[in-house]
Amino acid sequence: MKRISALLLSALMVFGLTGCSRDNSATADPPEYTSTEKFEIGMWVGVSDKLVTYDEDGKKVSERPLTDAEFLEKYQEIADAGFTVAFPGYDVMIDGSGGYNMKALEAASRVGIKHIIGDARLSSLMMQAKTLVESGVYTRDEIVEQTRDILSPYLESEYADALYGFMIDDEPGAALFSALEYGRSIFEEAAPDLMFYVNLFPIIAGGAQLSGTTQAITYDDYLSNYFGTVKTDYISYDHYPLYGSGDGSTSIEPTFLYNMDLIRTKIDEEGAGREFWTFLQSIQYGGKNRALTSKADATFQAYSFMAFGGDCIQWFCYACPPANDGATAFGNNALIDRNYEKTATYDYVSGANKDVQSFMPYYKNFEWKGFTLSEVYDDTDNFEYLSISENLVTGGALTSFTSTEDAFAGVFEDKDGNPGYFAVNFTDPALNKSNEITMTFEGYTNVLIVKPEGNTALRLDGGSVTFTLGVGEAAFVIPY
Amino acid sequence: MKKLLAMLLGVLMMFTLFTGCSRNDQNSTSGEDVGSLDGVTYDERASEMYVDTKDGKTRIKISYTPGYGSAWVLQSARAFLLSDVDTYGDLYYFEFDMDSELTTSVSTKLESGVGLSDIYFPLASNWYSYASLGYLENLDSLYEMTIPGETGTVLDKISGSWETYGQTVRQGETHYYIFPGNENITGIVYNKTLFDQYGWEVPETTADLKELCQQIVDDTEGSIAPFVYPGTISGGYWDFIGTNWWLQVSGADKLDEFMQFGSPEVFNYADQDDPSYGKLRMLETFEDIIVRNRTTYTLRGSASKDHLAAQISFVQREAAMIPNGNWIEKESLSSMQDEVRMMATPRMEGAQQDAEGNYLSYNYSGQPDYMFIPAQAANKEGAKLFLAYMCRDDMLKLYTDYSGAPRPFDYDVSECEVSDFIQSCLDVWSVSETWFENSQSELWTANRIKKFNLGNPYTMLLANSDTMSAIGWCASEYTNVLNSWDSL
Repeated sequence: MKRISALLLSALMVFGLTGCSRDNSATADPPEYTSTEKFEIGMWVGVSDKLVTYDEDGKKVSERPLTDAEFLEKYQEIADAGFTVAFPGYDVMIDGSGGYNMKALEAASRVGIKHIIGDARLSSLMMQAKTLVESGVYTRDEIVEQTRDILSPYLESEYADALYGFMIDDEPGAALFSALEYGRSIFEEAAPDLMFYVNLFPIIAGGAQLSGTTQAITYDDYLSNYFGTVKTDYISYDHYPLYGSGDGSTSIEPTFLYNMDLIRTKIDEEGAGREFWTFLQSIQYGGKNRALTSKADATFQAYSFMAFGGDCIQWFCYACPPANDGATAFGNNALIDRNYEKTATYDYVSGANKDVQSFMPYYKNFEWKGFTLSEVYDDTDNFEYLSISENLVTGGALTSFTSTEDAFAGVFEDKDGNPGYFAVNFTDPALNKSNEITMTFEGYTNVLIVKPEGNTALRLDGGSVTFTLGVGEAAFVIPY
Repeated sequence: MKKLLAMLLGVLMMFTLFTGCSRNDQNSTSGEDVGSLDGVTYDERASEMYVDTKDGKTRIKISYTPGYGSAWVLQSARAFLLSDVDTYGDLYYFEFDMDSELTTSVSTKLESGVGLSDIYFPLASNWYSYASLGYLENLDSLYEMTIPGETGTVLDKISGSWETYGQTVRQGETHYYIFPGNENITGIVYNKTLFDQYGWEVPETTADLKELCQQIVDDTEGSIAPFVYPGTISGGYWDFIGTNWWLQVSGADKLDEFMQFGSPEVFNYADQDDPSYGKLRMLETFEDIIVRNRTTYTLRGSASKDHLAAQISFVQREAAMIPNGNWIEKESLSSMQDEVRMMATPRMEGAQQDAEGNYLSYNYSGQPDYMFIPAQAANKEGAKLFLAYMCRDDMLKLYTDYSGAPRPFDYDVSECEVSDFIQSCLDVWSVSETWFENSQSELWTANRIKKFNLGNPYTMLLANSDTMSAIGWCASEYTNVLNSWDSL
């Protein structure tokens, strides 16, 4: 009885009180999808092998090495939070070749996750390879051998199974793309199974910043240049949407979705099937980007990216950088603080990570085709940019998509051409708005609504279904 | 955004129903008194203004940041539509777009071309890249335009560095691409009521300032901090004091020389003639007064406050002073009961004097706020006409009345009706030479080099007071620039 009550209660929570008294049970069993594939979840600033303590102003107080047991415990916490890929600590991000990298690979292997690591010898060689070869200092084959020499201790390690790839460059200007591609091709020859990791600028970067010279270029040119030059099998970038002010007001960065749309468009235009990676925000930094205050803050970001068919989210940051790196002030509120103690953000993000994975049996069986909007107020000013997107889907099985607040849905198809929709409540999570979604389908009788808390199959009422998405929530909606 | 505004306005309309008697014909937008809007129709829900009807008229759409409120733009638009010069109200109507994210998103708006406004008024940002990419309208004709109702041109009336600041070279030709916005007034804002209550004197020199800080700590037994600052913002606003000190010691000519970035030697600080000598001196002063007394002279927790949180602490009497500017009134002082003033930046030892022995006084305005018209804007001519109209004496005065900010034009601010706080800002401004970063160096316009080229010294000194000194920071900066100069 308790189970039935719980199910009923769950159904009510999922669909809200829509006032419908008639039986809306599905008339047929819903389609079944399975997948054991995980959504990749990574990070920026992981755990160092040193514990540095700070006072409340962020001033360094002491430093000591973590014991092996403490280090492993911290990696277990990373795995427990649902991360699949770890990243080095702040002080070893660029170069962990002095011992950190091996310890990190061992810890990652023991807790069953992967690791991106940094080795300054490698990143330097990769960036200089083109010049070294073209100037005749070394042959290409010699550079490949030097690369293998640097990589061999890692590849021959008993924990090599945990090695995902190497951090090469963050936010390079376009002037470096040619050198990056040369290095990438050498890296691929030396280690074809490892990631040559480069992260690109967001759309809000300035013109000359994008070029890396004194000449300004557009963001579109920046992306086109990368796609045309650097043949990584993924695209990664960072863009952080949660804004807040000291007076308690909050907002969403207006180009959060537009940045996704531009890159998604480039990926599809190219047709090479590059994976789509992004960093999302899990720390307060600078004067505008706020700390997370709920799981919804995390799911809102992750679900928005999934609605654009993303392949990997990385949380910026897992551990806190120093309070001020000279350019940016960072809060002490990433998943773990500067003393490596869990914060409330740990619970928010780990909960979100778990919810993201709950969609995978469905998400991994569908291919992204575009998106559709339900613009009510455009409270976040994001939809204005999407209104002219070539990815905006009209027609098809979904004949109407409306909501009481702003919402959008990724449009997907499975291998047989059956449609699926990843509907997102696109309202600022801090405003705590739930959203009543109505979707109308042509040619279907029932609908399966997939949410982290459970699936519900319903009979469509005149082709329509109405359900509620709570703050920061999304649902995978599959008509059948 | 639109719904939130509508809700706020709905509440305000209800409020106005019950309180309107005491406010006569004043209008209010999001709590701001925007003055009388008689003679025009202002549709708050649509953020549109017109005379009688907007049918058949051409829209002028303005996007602006909220720092100085909305009254200035509503009143400027109203005056334009009801102009005594021409029947602009028969030709145009306005749409207003207050956008708190404008400064960061404007480059995307320009690149996407979606929903472009006719006039943008963002905060300081690197406009040179917008110009070089062809996003900005050539404004030469605006600068040459005769101001409606007056006899001179717009350019004739522009003052100081602004006569040329809006120019840059594109495709081998020099043209104006941006238009003067505000002239911000920066320095130390203080709680006059507290100063009066405790008998604290406004400091004239940096030595006085240091004594005052200790006096505040002693008199209040540490319950009121001398300063609160926004530590999450790079530099914590300390540069609004620091560059004023640098100017006092080095003079504007030396800082202009510095900003040309002719060689790495502009970062040399060893001799008094070196442009960065004053930088070192001001950082040493900052180190002596603030860094070494960080725990007692600054409010605990300042490092994690943004500008609004720091300003709230100031309003709540947690600190007696705050590095800030004239915009603080619109942003944070509306609910403050205490009297607030801006003080002239205390004088550094070694401050330069003129031939008569008077100390030179400067106002560092921060990187300037400006307006521009997109090259793809729908109504460029209407936008230019409106911007030219805003250069009339009465319009400049109106702007300062409602925003609390002067504009870099020749007009008499003494006629402006402003609060005591704004008057104190204008008093500082009136006797000071305003300076801001103005450089055509490609390294500067492409953001390849910065005024502080090794992170922000204020925050780095505060966070590393045990291991870093002002002289050490300047030495590292100079060495770093020397070593990297050829690859910039």
